[in-house]
Amino acid sequence: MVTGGDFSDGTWLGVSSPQVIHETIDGEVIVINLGTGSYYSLRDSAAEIWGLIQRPGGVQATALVDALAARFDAPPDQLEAVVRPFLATLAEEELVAPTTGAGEPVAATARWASGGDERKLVFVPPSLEKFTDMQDLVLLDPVHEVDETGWPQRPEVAGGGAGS
Amino acid sequence: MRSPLPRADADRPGSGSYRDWPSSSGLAALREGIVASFAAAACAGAGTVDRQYLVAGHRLRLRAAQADVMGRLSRTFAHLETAPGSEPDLTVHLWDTRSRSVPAPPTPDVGDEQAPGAFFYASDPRLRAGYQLGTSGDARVLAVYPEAPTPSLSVLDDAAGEAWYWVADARRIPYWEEATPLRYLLDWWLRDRGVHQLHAGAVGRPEGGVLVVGKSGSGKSTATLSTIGTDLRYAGDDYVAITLEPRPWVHSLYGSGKLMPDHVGRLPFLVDGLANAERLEVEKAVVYVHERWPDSVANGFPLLAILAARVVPGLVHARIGEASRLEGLAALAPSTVFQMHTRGQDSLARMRRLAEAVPSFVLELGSDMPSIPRAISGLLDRLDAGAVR
Repeated sequence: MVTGGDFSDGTWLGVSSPQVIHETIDGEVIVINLGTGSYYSLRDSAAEIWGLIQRPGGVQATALVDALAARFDAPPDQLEAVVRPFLATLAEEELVAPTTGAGEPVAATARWASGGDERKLVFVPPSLEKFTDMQDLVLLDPVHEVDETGWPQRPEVAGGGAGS
Repeated sequence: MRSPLPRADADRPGSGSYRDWPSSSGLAALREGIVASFAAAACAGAGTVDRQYLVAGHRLRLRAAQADVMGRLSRTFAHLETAPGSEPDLTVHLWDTRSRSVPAPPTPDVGDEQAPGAFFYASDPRLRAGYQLGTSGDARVLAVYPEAPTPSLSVLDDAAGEAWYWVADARRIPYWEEATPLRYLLDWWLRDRGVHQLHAGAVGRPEGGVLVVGKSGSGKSTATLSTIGTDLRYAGDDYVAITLEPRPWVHSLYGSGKLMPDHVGRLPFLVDGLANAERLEVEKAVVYVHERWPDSVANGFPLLAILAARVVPGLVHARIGEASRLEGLAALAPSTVFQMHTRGQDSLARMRRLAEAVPSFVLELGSDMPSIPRAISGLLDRLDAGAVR
């Protein structure tokens, strides 16, 4: 997990897959953290930032700010002052994590959630709307997923059944 | 160590509570064990009982080793029953091992897990398997809760067209499982056929209907059950299936409906159809709509809209308002993902495609029940006329 919200070291950030799933619809994003039961909606600049993070390989914070500066009508230092705490929030919610591989350059491949309009947009600081009403389901019905080693076997016992 | 699963589960359950698993024996031994257990159960009784159903256009055969197991697990599918015909696409073997002469199938070592609803999932390229804990069966627990939920095991061998659903003791199948059984098996089987199970209710007419979505307590059941006896037909209150191609379509899975007992008074006509009237102090009220009101049930219809249900305190008459596609998706997706354990990116992508294919609305529920079907019918009238898009 990224700590401290300092992404100036060139760390590449990406979506915490497969624990986190997400979809974009009409320029808005829904993000679900399967581990915690929390889910989120991201709109406007938050959706644009998510769109850059979810690219294959992820994105560096510096490149993300540069890309936003080309998209929004706001100076880079203002964007940076807002975006870095937002990234820290995403990391605290375990929605993003450092990635090992470098992604494609942002400027050439960015796909904006708001579409392909070339005009610069008014910048509204990003926010993360969080919902926790599903957390009880995770607590009540925890899921244990078996890894590649297979179905767990209980030790041999006489008449070993399923505790009926 | 956390490792990726084999290919079978691009849309697998998530990793909410991983633990390390010590065995490397895989699922092959599981298949042998369940086949042997079912055969022993069939031999111990009077043979097997078969029934066939048409589920979302696919032929399903239930084959039970005990008549009472068939009775409890097939009741909710009766509206989908069809005459035995061509070879079924899937045969699900049903049995229990309450008799000590019948060996139980292999089950996982659940360690110190205590949550009764805990779900253990495994897969290999051939099999999917899910084990739900139920309770320990400890005599001290049963002494104070004699009908404690039974453990259950679901295994699908899709390539062979075979599946197995075992319970330790069919007498302890909980009411909610009896009302909506085989959810995981149906989900695994149908999803590879383009049929997606959702945590949603559905009502409509032959020419089109709506999904009613939202988390538990949002009013889905109240809204869907309120339509009984109206021009709308009931396809389910909690779990239904959809297909997206060639056009969005709802498929009924279960003929049951469940309602909080204190809500039955709002729909008093349900009292005549309660399946568990004597147990409402400890259970939700259950009705089998197709038994009591067979003309009110539909096996499916075209899907025209998603309604995100919510109860509005102080409101009298139900009303329908505009909603964004994200609102529709947000009301549908998280509860489906967590309820169904279909916890994967692919499930969410399919629901996004659904939300893009049909418009979303908010269904606000007030105290006047007859106004709910009127509001839904009014919306369908407008959608049929192309006035809303």
